[in-house]
Formats: sequence, structure tokens, C-alpha cells
Amino acid sequence: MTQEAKERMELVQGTLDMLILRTLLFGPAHGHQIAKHIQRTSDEVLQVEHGSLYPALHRLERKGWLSAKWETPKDRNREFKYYRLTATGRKHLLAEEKKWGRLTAAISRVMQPAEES
Amino acid sequence: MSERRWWKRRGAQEEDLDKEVRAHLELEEEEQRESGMSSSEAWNAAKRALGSTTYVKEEVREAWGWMWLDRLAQDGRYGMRQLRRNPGFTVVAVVTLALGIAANTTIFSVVNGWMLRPPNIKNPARVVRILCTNPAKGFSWGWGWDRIPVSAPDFIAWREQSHAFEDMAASQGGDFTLTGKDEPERLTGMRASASYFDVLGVSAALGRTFLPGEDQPGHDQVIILSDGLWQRRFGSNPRVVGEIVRLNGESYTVVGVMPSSYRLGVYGPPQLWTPLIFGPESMLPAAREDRSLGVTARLKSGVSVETAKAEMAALAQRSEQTYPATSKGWGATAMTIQHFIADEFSVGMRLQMGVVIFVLLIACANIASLQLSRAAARQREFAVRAALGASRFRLVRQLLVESLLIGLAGGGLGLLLAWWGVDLFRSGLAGVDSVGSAAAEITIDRTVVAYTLGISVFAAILFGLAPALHQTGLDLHSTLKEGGRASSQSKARHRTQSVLVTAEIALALALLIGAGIFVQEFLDKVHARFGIDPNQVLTANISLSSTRYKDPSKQAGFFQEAIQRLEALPGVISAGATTRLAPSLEDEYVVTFSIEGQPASTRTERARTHYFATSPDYLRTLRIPLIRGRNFLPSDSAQAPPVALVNQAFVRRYFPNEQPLGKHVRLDTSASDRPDWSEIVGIVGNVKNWLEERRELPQVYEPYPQRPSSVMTLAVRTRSDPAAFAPMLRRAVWGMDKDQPITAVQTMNHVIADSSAGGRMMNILMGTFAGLGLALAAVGVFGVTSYTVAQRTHEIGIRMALGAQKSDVLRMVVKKGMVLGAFGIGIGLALAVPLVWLKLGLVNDELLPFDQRGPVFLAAVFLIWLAALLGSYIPARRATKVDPMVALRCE
Repeated sequence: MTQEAKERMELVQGTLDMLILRTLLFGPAHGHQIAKHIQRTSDEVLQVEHGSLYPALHRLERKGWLSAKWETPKDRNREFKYYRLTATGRKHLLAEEKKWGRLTAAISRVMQPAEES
Repeated sequence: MSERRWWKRRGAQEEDLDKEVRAHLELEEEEQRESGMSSSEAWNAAKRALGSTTYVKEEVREAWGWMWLDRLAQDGRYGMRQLRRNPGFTVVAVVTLALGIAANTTIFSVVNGWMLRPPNIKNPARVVRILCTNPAKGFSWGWGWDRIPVSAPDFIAWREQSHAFEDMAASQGGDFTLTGKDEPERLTGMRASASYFDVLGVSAALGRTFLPGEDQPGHDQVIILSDGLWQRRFGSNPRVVGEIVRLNGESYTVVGVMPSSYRLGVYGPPQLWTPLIFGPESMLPAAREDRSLGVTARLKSGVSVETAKAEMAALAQRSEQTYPATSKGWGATAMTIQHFIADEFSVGMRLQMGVVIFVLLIACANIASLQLSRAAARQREFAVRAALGASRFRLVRQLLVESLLIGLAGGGLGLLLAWWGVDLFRSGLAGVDSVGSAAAEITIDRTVVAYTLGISVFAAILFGLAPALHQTGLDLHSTLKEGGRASSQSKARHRTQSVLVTAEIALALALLIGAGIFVQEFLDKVHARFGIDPNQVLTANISLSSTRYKDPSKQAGFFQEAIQRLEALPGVISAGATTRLAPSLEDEYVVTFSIEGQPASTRTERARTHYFATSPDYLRTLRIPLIRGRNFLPSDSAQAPPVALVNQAFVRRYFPNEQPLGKHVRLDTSASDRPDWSEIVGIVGNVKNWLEERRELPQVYEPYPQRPSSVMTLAVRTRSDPAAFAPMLRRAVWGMDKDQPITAVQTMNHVIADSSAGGRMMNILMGTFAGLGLALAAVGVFGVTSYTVAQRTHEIGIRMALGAQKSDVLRMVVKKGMVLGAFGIGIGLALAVPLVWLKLGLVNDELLPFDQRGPVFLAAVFLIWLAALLGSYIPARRATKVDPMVALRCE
């Protein structure tokens, strides 16, 4: 794997992790729901690649930011793996949001300097 | 985590993932169907949206963090496949490594068995040896100036004055003659202080060890038997304790039998022990210079070896001040008994360890070079894998796993070979009395196996890392484009390979020179230091039947005639007979004696000397030099006045300031004192009993006709090969009496080799390892030259198409090998010279001038050169067979 590819990957991963955590702030959800939620709330701008969604979920679970449990929703007779935000995951999300806010603010200051003058 | 639990958890997790992915697909399909697709279309669309499920799963597995294990297993499988696909390379690499490892394992198992394992005594770390030191003595004492035994007065004083030890005991080797119901037998035993076994903390298997006070005169007629002697001579009689045996003509009571497991040191375990007593003579001033006691002591609890050392140094200083005449320059020290025992042969073993490490390094260089050759063929494989996204780390790991597989296979095979090598080593030692019983302790135990595994992995990294880094540092683009033909990488690789082979040649040369000088030194010792000329001498043992030759004059007559008959044979220079052959493994014959004019004394108080009765020509046959006076003459017959010859050591010890010629001695060769005194008529050179003998022994010869014996050894000096003379010797003796058994017909060189079998063993090992190194170096040159030829086939083809002669091609290729050889020889010589100096500093007191070492250097250089030539000639021959058309069409 070349160095470039790895960097690109990491960028996507970082934001995807944050989006997943943010989505789960509203309550537990399974993989498909998470993907749909991100797509809908971003007005279909952000297409979540399923190929990276599940690895991300498992990674976050390993890190201890999410917990998972097989549950059967009331409206169906089928089990789904529901992911839930843990306390450390919530803390991490807050930190990420702050960082993200600073980053976007900084970027927009660079991109639109005229507004300030 | 145990493996089973690992697999279980792993399986559950896989199932879980499978379920999750399926659920996702189903939801997706549902959604698609809701938007109006047919069910099969919907399923396909769902799968498309998710992408490859395998890919997803793989990525998830990576997230689990177990991927590295998976990949390692994968690397292992892939490596196995690669190795199977190249059986030639694999076999050469594994066998090369196995040889190097087998050499290491074999030698290490000796080191482990003899040096690393603590002796079988109570709390061995608390037992120390007390030793005298004297830097002025150099190596003349056989094992260095800091390992000198202690004198009796010093021992007695130190035992009283020291505070660091619970107790201190002295011991001294001795010769004993055991008589009784069976044949008389000469035995090597030990005289030891009464507290000797208490200091060591060992008790008898049967009966007891010595009691306090048994080392006082009058109470000392007690004997402890070794397990071996008890079994052999006493038929393992459980009621042997309390029995009376005749030892040196006196009665001793058996008080105990030592267990079979008891052994201290490797050389010559004593066969019996008697108390060591100090008579009044041991307090005489002269006794201060007789340093021959081994002193063993047990440290008081809480006292360190360092403290004991300091105390001994202080005590020695006190002796030095009190007795400057005899103790000036002498110090004392202490070392743990295990350290002391290990040091008995540490020089030799250290050398052997060095040699086998050299062999292993050569093997590693060889395999690394082979791998580089193979890299040419695998260049594309790696470029493709890199292009498909494999990281360099992954590729290096892949190659290291392959190396590790070779390493483990080589280690396994090496262990098997070492099993056989240890067996060979043991059987080689089995015949040597002095160390035979210790041979059983050389085994391949857990420590040895762990060591083997360790060096296998170490070797794998050593020969795997450089090629792996080389092979993966590729420029993808050019490799793929050029189709793997000569690129800048291949040049760099070639350089590395040349460096490796040069190093290999240098190591092999240093090894050859080292081994050559070791063997040369041994032969020097054999020929110069035994005090005889062993070449072209055949020996044979004859014991006359006691019924037919009961009369001593008949015995004398038989041997006299045998010698005459032998001397009359064509091809015989001279022939002689002796009661005991020296040097040999035969038991020494030591007698007590008196010097005329000195006060009469009882037998036990008398001085001792080694004794031989020989025919007049015996000394001439073995070329024992006559220093002064005359040799025996035929006129020294039974009727003539008795005469004797003494050696230089005898003169030095018993006539230090006198002219010995014309003096008379009386030797106690029979139970009662002889009435006649023998006149000393000549002084002869010293003869050693075995190679590493530390002390110069007093020796006395008497003419055989005056002291007949029924058991004699014949010695015949021949003009040609003495071994071929054996049938003639038999015929000559049987011509006189065909019922006489002739035993041990062997050349003197063989006898010597037997008496120095330990040294011979070392030489065989040295020679084997040096040969191995040489062969490996030749293979190395062969490998790198073959590779060059393979790389240059195209170029050679063009050259030949343009009219180059076969001889030109041959010269071009061979030159490459010769250049490597020249570099290797240069570095090897630079490496060998200090090595040789180091070695000489370790084991020898004098340096031999270069003109004596020169031939060894020249021979080694010649052999290496020959190996390089041979290694490059064979591929060069192949190069000349290149058909230009085929070579060019290869494109």
C-alpha cells in the first residue's frame, strides 16, 4: 500500500468515525440505520460506503466507544446488531466535535478572508 | 489466551459478522424492492451497494486486530510453497545450515555437560579450590600460573589461620598396587584429608567416609572404594565394608564405597581413597617447594568468594614474609570448584566454540548469498506483489518467515546430526581411561535443545535480513519495465553478494589457519615433548605363561632370543623390550628406593620413582637421548654387577648438587629389600607418560637381564611402514614358541595417540570443522560465480558471436572468482594473524617463529585459492558452452 492511499484512508476514517458516533447520540441503531441516517441528514451528499462502515463499527467497538448487542425490534421478528454509544465514546465525540469545529473555522477563515476585513 | 479458546472466540466472531452482513443485505434488498424492483434485481442492487462481502469481511477482521496472526500463518504457508517450489535451493540451504548448527550443538553439549552443569556435591557454589599463584611461572605448569597446587606446610598453616572457611581439606593423586586373591593391579587413587568428603558434602553409598583422626599416622589404614572398583574387583559385594585388602603391601580396612554419581572434574576419577597424612618430612623447608596438594574448602555461611580470595592473598603474603627463600613471589587465591573444573579444559573448549561459530557464520554467509542469487529470479514476483499493494514491511516479513522456516528446518536437521555427533564424541572418549566415565554426561538435554533453537533463529535473522532488505528495496517501475534483467538493483545485489563471499573466504581461511596451527602444535608436542621419536616404531605385548617360563632366567632367555631374531629381520633398525612402555596408557609402575649413604628408613618413608626394566637396545630403539655416561651394554648380564640409568628429572630431584654417576641406588622391586645396590652408569632424557603431564617424573631404568619379568613390551624400529611389519613380528615370535599370545600389536604413534586421545579428538574435530568451512567457502564461490554467469549469458552470447574464444570467456569468468578469492585471502590473513597470536597466548608458553608456522599459512592459502578456483571454474565451463544463437534469442 502506498503512503498516499493510506493518508486518504485515514481522513475518511476519521470523519466517518465522528459521524457514526454523532448518529448514535440519538439512541442505539444497527448498521443499516446508521448508514441511512447519515445519508438522509446530509441530504444524500455523504454516501456511506458500506465497505468501510462495518470495519469502522468493529474498530469503534474494539476501542470501547461503542457497545453492541443483538436485539429484535418491536416491528420485526428478526435480530439486528444494535450499536450504542458508551460513556467514553460520548467523551470522545465531544472532543472530536470541538476539534472539528476549530478545524472548519480555521479552514473557512483561510478560504474567505474577505468577509473579515 | 489458550489456543482452543482463541479458536472458539474467533469462530463466534466470524458467525456474528456473517449474520450482521446478511441482515444488512436483507434490509437493503427490502428497500430496493419497496422502490419497485423485482426481487432478484433488488438482491443484486443490495450487493452492489455493499460492495464485495469478502472485502468487507476482511476489512472487519483487520479491525479485530488478529490479522497479523492470520497473515503470519499465510506467510508461513506461502513460504512453505516457495521452498517446495525450489527444492534445490531449499535442500542446499537447509543442509548447509544443519551442518553449521550440528557442529555448534555438538560442541555446546560438551560444554554444557562438563562445564555448565554444577558438580554433584552439596551446595557446590559454596565449595572453593585454594590455589597458589606465581606470575613468574608462566604456563610451565600446564594450566597457568594462577592454578598451581599448594604445598603441605602452606596448607597446614592456612587451615589454621583462615577464618573464611568452615573447613579446608587437602588431596593428592597417588598410585596404588592392590594385591589379594586376584592378580595384582595398579590403580590410580587419591590420598585425602579426613575431612575431604565432609567439605564436599558427599557421603558414601555403602559404609562411611573418613572419620576425624584417620589422617593421623597409625590410624590411616582405611580405604574407600570407588563404585567402579567395587563393581569390578569386588563383584559389587554388599558386605565389602570391613574387609581387609592388601594395598602397597600393607593391610587396609575397607570402610566405604562411594556412589556411582560422585565425580569431581572430568579427568581420571580416583578408583580409591586413603587418608592423606603429613609426616615430619612434610614440615621440612624443602617441602615448601613441593606444591602438589589440591586444596578444597567450604565457605562459612555469609562469606563470599571475594572475601575468601582477599583472605587467601593476605595469608600468602604472610608466608612470603616468613619464608622468603621458598615463598617469594607466590600468592594464593580461591575460586569456586565449578569454575576450577570448567577451567580444566576451558581453553580447548573455548577454541572449539570459536571454531564452530566460524563455521556457522560461513554457512550463514553462504545461505545469504544463495538467497541473493535467487532474488534475481524472484524480482518480478516481488515487484508485482508490491504493485498490488503489499507494503515493504509485509514483503520483508514474508522473506524473514521464509528464512525462519529454513532456520528451523536446518536447526531440526542439525539437532539430529548433533545427536549422531555426540554419540561419536562419546564413543571416541569411551576408550580413554581418564575421561571415559565422564563421557556419559555429554547429552542433548533441554538446555542444549534451547541453545540449538536459539542459534537457529539467530542464524535465520542473520542470513535472512540483508537479502530481505535488498530484495524489497526495489524500484517497481524499472523492474517491471525491464523484465527483471540487469538493473541498478541487481548490481547492488551483486555487490552485496561479493562482499558476503569475500567474507566467507576470509572466515574460512582464518579457520583453516587456526585449525592448522592447532594440529601442528599438537603434533609438535607429540613428537618433541614425549621425549621419544615415535615414528616407525612397532610395539607388541607378550606375557609368558607362568607354567612354562616360571624360571626368571628362562624369561630373560626368551626375550633375549626374541630381540635377536627381530633384529636379524630385514628392514629392522633395532629392537628392544621393556617392562612398561612410556608414553602409553598402561598403568605407571612406581617403586620406592634408597640411595646408598643416606640414612636407612622404612619403606613408606622412602622416595618414589617410576621404574622400567629394559633390554640394552630399548632406549636406542625409542631414541631416548643419553645425556651423560653410558647406555646399557650386552655385558650388563645377570652375572655382571647391577647397573641403572636415571633420567634428568631424577637427578634434579635427588642429586641436585651432586654428580650422580657412580652413586648407588636400591630399588624396591620385590617385597623384601634387595641385597644388591645398582650403580648409576648414565643419565637419560625425560619421557612423558601422556601429553599434558604437568610434572617431570623421576624415572629409573635397570637392565632387563638383571631384573627379568614375564610381561614385556617389544619395540621394533623399522625402515619402512611399521604397521606392515606386524605379521613378520608375529612370525618371528611364534617361530620360537607358537603358544605365546601376542597382544596389542600397534605402532608407537598409535600408542601415543591413545595416550593423548583427548587431544586427538580435538584434532579430529578441528580438522572436520576446518574442512567444513573450506567446503562451504567453495560452494559460496561457486554460487556467486554461477549467478554471474546466469546474469551475463546474454553478454557472453554477444561476445562469442563477435568472435570471443572459449578461453577468453573462461578467463573472464574465472577471473571474477579469483578476484573474490584474492580479497578474501587478504582479509583472512589479516584476521588470522592476531587470532593465532591470541591462541598461542592462551595455550602455549613460547611462540614458534614464523618459519615454522609459514607452511601452515601457505597450505591454508593454497587450499582456499584452490577452492575459489574450483568454485569458479565449473560455472565458467558452463559459460563457454553458451550457444550465441540461443543466448541472443533469449530476449
